Amino acid sequence: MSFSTLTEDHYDALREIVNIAMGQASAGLAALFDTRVMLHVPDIALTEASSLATELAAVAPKEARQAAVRQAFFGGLNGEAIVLHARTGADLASSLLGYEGPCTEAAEREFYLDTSNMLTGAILGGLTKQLSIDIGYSPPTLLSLQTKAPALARECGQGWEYALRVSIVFRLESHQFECRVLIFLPENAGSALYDALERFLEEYA
Amino acid sequence: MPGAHLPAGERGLGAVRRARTVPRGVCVTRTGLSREQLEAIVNQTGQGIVLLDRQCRVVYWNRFMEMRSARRASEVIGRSLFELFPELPENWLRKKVESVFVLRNVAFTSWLERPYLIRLQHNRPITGGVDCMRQDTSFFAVSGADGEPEYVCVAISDATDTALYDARLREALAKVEELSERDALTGWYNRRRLEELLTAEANRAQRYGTPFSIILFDLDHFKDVNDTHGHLAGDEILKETTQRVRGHLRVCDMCARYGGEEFLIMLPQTSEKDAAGIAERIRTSVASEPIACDDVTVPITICLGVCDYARTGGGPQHMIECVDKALYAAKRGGRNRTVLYSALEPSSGPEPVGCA
Repeated sequence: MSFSTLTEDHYDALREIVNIAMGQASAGLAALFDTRVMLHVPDIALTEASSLATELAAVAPKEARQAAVRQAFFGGLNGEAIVLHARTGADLASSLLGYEGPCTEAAEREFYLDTSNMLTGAILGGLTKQLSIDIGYSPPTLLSLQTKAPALARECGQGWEYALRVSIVFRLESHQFECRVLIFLPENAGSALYDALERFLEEYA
Repeated sequence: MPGAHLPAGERGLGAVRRARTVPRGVCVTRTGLSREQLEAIVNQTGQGIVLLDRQCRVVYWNRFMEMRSARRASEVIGRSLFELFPELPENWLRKKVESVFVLRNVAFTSWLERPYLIRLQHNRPITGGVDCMRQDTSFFAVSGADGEPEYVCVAISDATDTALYDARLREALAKVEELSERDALTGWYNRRRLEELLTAEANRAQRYGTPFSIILFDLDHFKDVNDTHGHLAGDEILKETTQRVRGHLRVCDMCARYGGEEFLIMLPQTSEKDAAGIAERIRTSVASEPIACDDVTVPITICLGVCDYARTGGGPQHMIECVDKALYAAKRGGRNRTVLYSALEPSSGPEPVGCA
């Protein structure tokens, strides 16, 4: 397992980097939405495909069914982000993105895709900038409009064993909107991450 | 590649606000390619490339856009995109462009949610069968000399072919479902197949004089269940209930979904008396234990009507009418009960076979 080379120092550095990235992300988003943006303390952990169902169930928002969006990133670091949205507050929050008129299903889907893309890009952008890494993004796609943790885990738990997972909750208080961003770095990203963190530690330690 | 910026010191391609003084063919980029070569690539690529300033005025318009919009670059440069295409959702698009300037990320649209960004002719006027180009787009910032975002580039990909394939696939799947025998949710025969099977069994019963009975049942208060637990849970409850019912039947018995929450069981070689016994077994089995679905358990009861071919005669339609009367009587009688058609008297109420 290639993440085994990461030491406590590496994890600490990663936590700090993620915190800074989140701060930058929330500042940018607050400027864009002109409203208070809350990004909660991130959780960084090694995760196993076999325990994905339990983990997802533990972090599911109060709503039983969620919309799930996925998006891949590649280049200096490769991985995939999954963003879980409670299916409430989309109507209210979509006015922030300039949608007008009644909320059709297509508009709701696009709203989840757009916000997921923004959040993932903001967080990963801040992260990779600090690590001096260049990455690109695939377009986001909707995994499901109504999914529960077990079904989602079944769909997402194939073909891998371990991954590093960064979990961030994002909330717009004024618009009753909440979602969770899960960034997964698969095993083959382990050495790229190690190298980047080593460089970071050398520069700032 | 989306997200990559041109290095500091390079103007965006095609910026035409000032006349350029660099001679032709001179290498001006770090790649060693000349400006003309890069511009040729941008013009040959199978994508629409549009550069917008922060106010959504057109700064660059590549050849793809010229050919598909029937507007030359010289006509559109410097003009607002909303003036050129008044049907564009202005609020949404301004927000989108602004978000890329502020967040410096890549933003996307997909034809699945938004069929097109700018209404352009598609390339299949004879065979397409669709009104205009379907598009996937991406938006990304292009930096100026100071390294700050100066323009947003909108890259437009023609997704019409994909959209057409997708539509054909959906049509084909719908036809397959129509022609299939089975109800997708429960796996029981669908209405179409039911009618064929019922006709065949009724004919067999008539030809050989063998007994043949049917049971029609539905779930009590199912609309309330849907309202309380949601339609998805309701579907799962239907599925679980039918599975439990199936467990009490023989291999030769045929089960069909007759309506939303109505189901019909065909019992060949079975008299009304025996069918009544089976109906009661089913009824008590469903009523005895709540149906589990996801993390809720829901108590369910069913109403059943029973009739046999010997008593009703006539064709399959008539059989269904009779069993429907029996079911109706069960409902009127208080639900969670079985009623035999033979027991229905015009003057007095039906004698239920059994009830809770």
